[in-house]
Amino acid sequence: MKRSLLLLASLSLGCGTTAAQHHLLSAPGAPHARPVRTILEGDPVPPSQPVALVQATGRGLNADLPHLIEGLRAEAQHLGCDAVVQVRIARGSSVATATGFAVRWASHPGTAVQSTPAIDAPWAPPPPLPAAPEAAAPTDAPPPWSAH
Amino acid sequence: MRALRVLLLTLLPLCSAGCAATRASAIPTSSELLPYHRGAVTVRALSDPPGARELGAVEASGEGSLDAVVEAFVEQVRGLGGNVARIDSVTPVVETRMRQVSQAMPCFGMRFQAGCSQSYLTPEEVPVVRLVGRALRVDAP
Repeated sequence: MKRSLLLLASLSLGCGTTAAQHHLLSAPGAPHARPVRTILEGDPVPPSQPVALVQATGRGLNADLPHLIEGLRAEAQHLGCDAVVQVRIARGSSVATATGFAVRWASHPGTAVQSTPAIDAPWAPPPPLPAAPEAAAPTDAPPPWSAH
Repeated sequence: MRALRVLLLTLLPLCSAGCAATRASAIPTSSELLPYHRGAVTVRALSDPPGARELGAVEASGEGSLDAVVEAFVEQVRGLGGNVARIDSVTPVVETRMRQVSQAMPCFGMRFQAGCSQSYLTPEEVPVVRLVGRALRVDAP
């Protein structure tokens, strides 16, 4: 009994697939292993050249955000792209799918990538709040609303 | 009862085949009516080409191959006379459909052990991609 349960558990761990596909919009670049950025729909997109429409679909245990994003990134790396932008995600109970545009930065292959402050700025702690005004020293005088 | 079952088994594959097809539609938004464009169509995203005139709104959706959905989109652009297919948004959708499953089963009480099967419907989630955009026309310089 224990053995069959273990077998079922080990089989269920493998019950997930991720598939990706693309439709080319312009000539792809050489595949690379550099990091690929993911920019969700609605976030500002730096100047870029769209290379392909990409889609990743996860089934079973792979129907979650990490596998979808990894699928999109792998497809973008395969196409020699720097980022996947306008990423949208839809999720069911056993299937999830994500789409986006694989792009090369407009400055590619230059040295500097144009940065967008909202995206590229490193996280920094918020500035300290201004000091609160000093509270008035307590006095023995009665408060004004109690004076008659 | 048997006639109903035969009708159901005949219609279900037809319906599922029709539901699985790529769908597309377009509507002109300009008074400029151009004939079907038989030349090359450029697919663009994220930006309009300079000097483009908008001819209409286009949408296409389908499951399976992205190429098929884009091809359906481009076909609508051609129908409006456009030579640029501008994709404004790509939306993934997970649709739930009923799928017919046939299962072999033993034929009890029959003289011959011929193939007996039962069919039933089961829900299936299908990833679908929906493209929305415009048909544009750019005149050669």
